Amino acid sequence: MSKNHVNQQASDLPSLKSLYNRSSLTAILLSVLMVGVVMASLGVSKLLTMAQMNLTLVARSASVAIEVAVYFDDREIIQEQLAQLLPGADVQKALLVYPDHSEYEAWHIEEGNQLTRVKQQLLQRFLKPVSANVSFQNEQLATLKLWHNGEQILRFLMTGSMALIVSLLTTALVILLVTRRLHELLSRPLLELASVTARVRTERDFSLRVSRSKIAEIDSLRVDFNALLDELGQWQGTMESINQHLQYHANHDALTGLANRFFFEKTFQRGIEHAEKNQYELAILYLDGNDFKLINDTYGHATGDEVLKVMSQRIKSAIRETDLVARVGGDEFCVLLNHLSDTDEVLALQREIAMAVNGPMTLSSQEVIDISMSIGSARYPKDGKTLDALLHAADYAMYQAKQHEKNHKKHYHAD
Amino acid sequence: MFKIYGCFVNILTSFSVGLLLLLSASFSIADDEYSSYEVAELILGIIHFTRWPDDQNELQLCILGQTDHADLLSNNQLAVGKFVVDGRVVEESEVFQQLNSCQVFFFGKMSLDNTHQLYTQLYSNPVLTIDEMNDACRVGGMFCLHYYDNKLGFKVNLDAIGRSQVRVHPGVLRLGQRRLSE
Repeated sequence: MSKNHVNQQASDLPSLKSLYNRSSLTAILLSVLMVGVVMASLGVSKLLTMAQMNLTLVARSASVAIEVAVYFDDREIIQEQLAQLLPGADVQKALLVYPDHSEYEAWHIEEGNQLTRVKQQLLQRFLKPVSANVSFQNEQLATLKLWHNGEQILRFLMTGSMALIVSLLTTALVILLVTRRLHELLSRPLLELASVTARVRTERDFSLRVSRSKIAEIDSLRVDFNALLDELGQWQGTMESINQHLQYHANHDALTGLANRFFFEKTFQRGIEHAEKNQYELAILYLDGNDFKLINDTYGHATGDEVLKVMSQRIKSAIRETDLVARVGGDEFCVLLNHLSDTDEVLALQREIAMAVNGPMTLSSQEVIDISMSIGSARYPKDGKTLDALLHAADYAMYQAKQHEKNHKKHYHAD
Repeated sequence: MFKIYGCFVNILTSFSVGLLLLLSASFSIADDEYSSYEVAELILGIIHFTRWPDDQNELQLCILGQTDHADLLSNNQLAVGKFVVDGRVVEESEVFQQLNSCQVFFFGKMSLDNTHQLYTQLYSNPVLTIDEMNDACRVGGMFCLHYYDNKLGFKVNLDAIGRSQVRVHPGVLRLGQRRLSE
């Protein structure tokens, strides 16, 4: 539930790629666009100024060229001179205005080269006609007025704006490529880091490592991350061994290495449940050392421990592999017998264990003592159906056996 | 172009561009296709675009031989631009004595035998020469009056201009040259 929540949150957040793309693309395109627009407007205004200056210059040189012809009022020569000068100078028409305000259109561009009316009107907004005095020695002969044709300017503007658009697009493309490359450099290692982290978390596989990155900061992050994984792996190993140790000690008896009462009861309870389900029989044996307190008191606790170890070994040697033996108290042992084929098997095993356990043993002091154990048994489901009932029944049977033995001994000694 | 005023105000307005004429209440128009006025206008125009050494601007215009349209030029003071032009008739017999005092010559029909000698001498002086009647305009004056297409114009004799000591505005040559090719 919480994991899903986290994932959902993560997918709602913008990715590094989109952030990077958005910010860098926006910033760079905006700046390029601004520079482009500023430069373009500066260029256009400069161009218009230059065109105006150029036309003024053309008008001046034309007026110098035609001054004599104007003086002699030779219109043919005026036309001829202007026809030499004005084509190619992007002039639409030339008008001579005399001091008496009479006008004479001395030249105009050929019909085919004229711009459309719309373009002309557009250009007239920005390009005003220019005038130059036709004079000789301070005598004002006429005024030459020239109108822009604007074809060259329009062509220049057209190619200029095309170049601007092309360079803008190229810039955008280059930015896109660079951004993508940067993104790959930047986000791929981060994604790998994230996926490794997720796998470590789900699979508990501390052997995973993040691969090298080409970016210094990310690479140092990788080194630290891998070192952290090393440490986590070691820590995990330590924890596991500690856990195993603790587990062992929780379930086993430190002295004999047999299962302890806790483990025995747990297993026995499971065994009962299983047997109930599958309708088969179980049995437990309850064993108790005879005169163990006397041995302890006589030879000391160290010898007592020695005796307990021998007892546990002897019991272990007598039971089958599928059976479980546990030390449940000071000199008390329990055996859980599984897979019983018939009732006699319990008695047979009981006998076998008694034979294995009872007998002389050599102490570390080379002294030989006799050890023996009393054994009681209880069967599931005949003698009880719960763990406590069965334990109690087996304990009681063992007690009966012990009493019987004591009586038998007394009887023997009495004899 | 240039304006016609009474000769008395000529000096007062000499700085301005204009032409001053001394003329009677009305001037006679020749029965030819063009008038003396047009001739005077044209000659003053040529003078306007001509430069003499030392920036000389008080000019003597000498009329030589039989002319048809020099009425407004003879015994008259005219002004164009910075120039003041005094026109007078020179007898053919005195021409060689007058050579140095005339800066502009307007040639009519001459009966001289030694025109060649005259031209040779003229070219060594800073003199502007204009022929009234010289359709070919190959020998003789630097400029030749030429009536064409109902308009009085002129032709240029580039050889004579090249040898002359006065400088003529190239624009004027351009005007005259075109007619040469017609």
